[in-house]
Amino acid sequence: MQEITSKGQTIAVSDVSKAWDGVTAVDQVSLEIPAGTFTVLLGPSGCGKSTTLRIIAGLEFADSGAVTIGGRDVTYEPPVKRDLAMVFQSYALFPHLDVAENILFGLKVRRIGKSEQAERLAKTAEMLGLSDYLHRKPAQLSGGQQQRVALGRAIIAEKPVCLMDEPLSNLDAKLRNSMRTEIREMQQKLGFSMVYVTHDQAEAITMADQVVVMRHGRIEQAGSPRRIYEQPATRFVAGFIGTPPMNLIAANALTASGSGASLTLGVRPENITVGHTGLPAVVEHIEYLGADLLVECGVGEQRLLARLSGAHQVQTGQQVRLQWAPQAMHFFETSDRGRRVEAPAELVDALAGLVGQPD
Amino acid sequence: MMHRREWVYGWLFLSPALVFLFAFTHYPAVKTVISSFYSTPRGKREAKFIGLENYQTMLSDDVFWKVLGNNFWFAVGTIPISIGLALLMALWVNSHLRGRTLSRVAFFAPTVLPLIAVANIWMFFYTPGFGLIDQLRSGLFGLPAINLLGNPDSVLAAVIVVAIWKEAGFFMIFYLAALQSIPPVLREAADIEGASRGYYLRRVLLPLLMPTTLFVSVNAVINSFRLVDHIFVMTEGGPDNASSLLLYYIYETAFQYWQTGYAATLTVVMLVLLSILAIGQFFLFDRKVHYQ
Repeated sequence: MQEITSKGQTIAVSDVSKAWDGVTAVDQVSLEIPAGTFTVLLGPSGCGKSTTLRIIAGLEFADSGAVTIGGRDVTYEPPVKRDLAMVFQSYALFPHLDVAENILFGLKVRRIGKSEQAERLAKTAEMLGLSDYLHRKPAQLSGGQQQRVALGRAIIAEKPVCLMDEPLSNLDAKLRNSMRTEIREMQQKLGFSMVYVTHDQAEAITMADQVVVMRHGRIEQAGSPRRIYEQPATRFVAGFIGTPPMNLIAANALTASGSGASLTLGVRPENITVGHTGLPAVVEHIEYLGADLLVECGVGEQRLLARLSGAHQVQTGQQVRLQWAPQAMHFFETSDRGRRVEAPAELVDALAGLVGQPD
Repeated sequence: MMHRREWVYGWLFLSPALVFLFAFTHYPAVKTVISSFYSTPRGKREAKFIGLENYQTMLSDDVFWKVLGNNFWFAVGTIPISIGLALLMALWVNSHLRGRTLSRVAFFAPTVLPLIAVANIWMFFYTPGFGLIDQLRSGLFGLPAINLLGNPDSVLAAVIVVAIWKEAGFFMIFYLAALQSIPPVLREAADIEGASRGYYLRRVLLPLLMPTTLFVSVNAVINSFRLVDHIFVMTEGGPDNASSLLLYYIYETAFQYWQTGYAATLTVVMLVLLSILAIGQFFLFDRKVHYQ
């Protein structure tokens, strides 16, 4: 049995903007998707990620800017000329066609020979575990099976580019986890370039080579999952990535001198520990998660969330001292777009002196 | 105690509809079947049972056969064209074109207007000499006047055109509703796969519209027997019964010649015909129809 393989292609989006009736959906987005990689567009609803995907697909056209696929300018080309496949959130299966006809739809449009159709169908169906369902209508399938049919329709033609618009959001949590792995494995095996839209950061972090975090139609940060987590480029990214996300408080609220007035301090809950020295705080709320313990502490007017080991014994109202390593501190501009900045050394020293070293 | 009262309420709520249904549908239908086996009562002579005599009369009635033939051609002429037009118009006003609200209103207007009133406008179109059609013919092509409604060869076609004009807008509404229930994402999925408009229409839209087509075609068949309002205004079945349809002939027999027994017989034949056609259509189509 021969392998299904397709070579991915580079996708470049440069300076693309799109507005509807004066409302900007995508604002000067530039983005490079290397051939054969998995890129996730991540952001809250209304951030422009789906519109960006649809502009790459050719279902919408950019007001300005350019889209190239494999070095070819396709900005104003219809979808069919872009040589790509797409999976929709609602699956978009044809309800009157059975599984086989749905998967073969594109091949039939392009009048691929019957024997090749049958061969590819068998391969694709086997890969997705749909061989026993080929003659069922979509309505007779479970949500997960419908999802697989949509994937089948996307991969059977071995297109160099595959786009997915929140494909897992209609599945239950358990199925979502297993499909995540499966889609990632499929992408690596077949080697196509993937652009995947989601608002679920767990999907983004686990699947992507490159995560693109968007907000208000703009890119906040693009980078590897590790870089997005470890070095968030803006306050928004810091507050969006991580479960629970990073604590963000005014830097001058902790320092006695009130220095660092225009800066926001960010510390991840999982970097905070409780010890004998450090920042005095009062436990206000506890959430026990088994392995972990989420402890909400009050430090003056500020609230800090700490993620401790579940073995810790703390009570509400208890006085604790919080600690974190100096390198666990992130600083962002409080105003404007909240860009990541290097804090003045004296501020870092002052804060480090306050919280000490974890013991 | 409580149960009895609920039972009474149930019947009270049902009764208005039931009374009308029985008084104006079920009772007349049954009475018609019975009447078709009786002679027509005249003056003091009461209707008496005559068995199948009315049916025998009918079989040897040339006008009946002529009218039945007319009705056949009327159905063949109106049904496919009005359904096809309805689909075209629905596809058109469902697209994102400018002024589509206006075209929707324009297409639906014939349905809202009473056919009796509209038939008078069509009379003007058809009037020989100074009607719209003749003015166009002589003005643009210098052709002589024609009398479309006065000629047995053209009169049926002329009333068919009016019926199509009336029906297409009505059926369009059903197609439009069905089209709007089809998710636009299917079109996008087909676009991604490179399907042309024609391919999408043939392989996706038309199959998904099949339930509507079935519904509309059953209605169209029934209407082709029912829609005779314009015959009253435009031709009164003439000339030489060339534009008379079954229902119009029943009207004439019953309320102009007052042969109520024979009219009942004709009515029974029409009911049987319609039932067979409607049931047949459901069985014929149903296997090919995908219901969502």
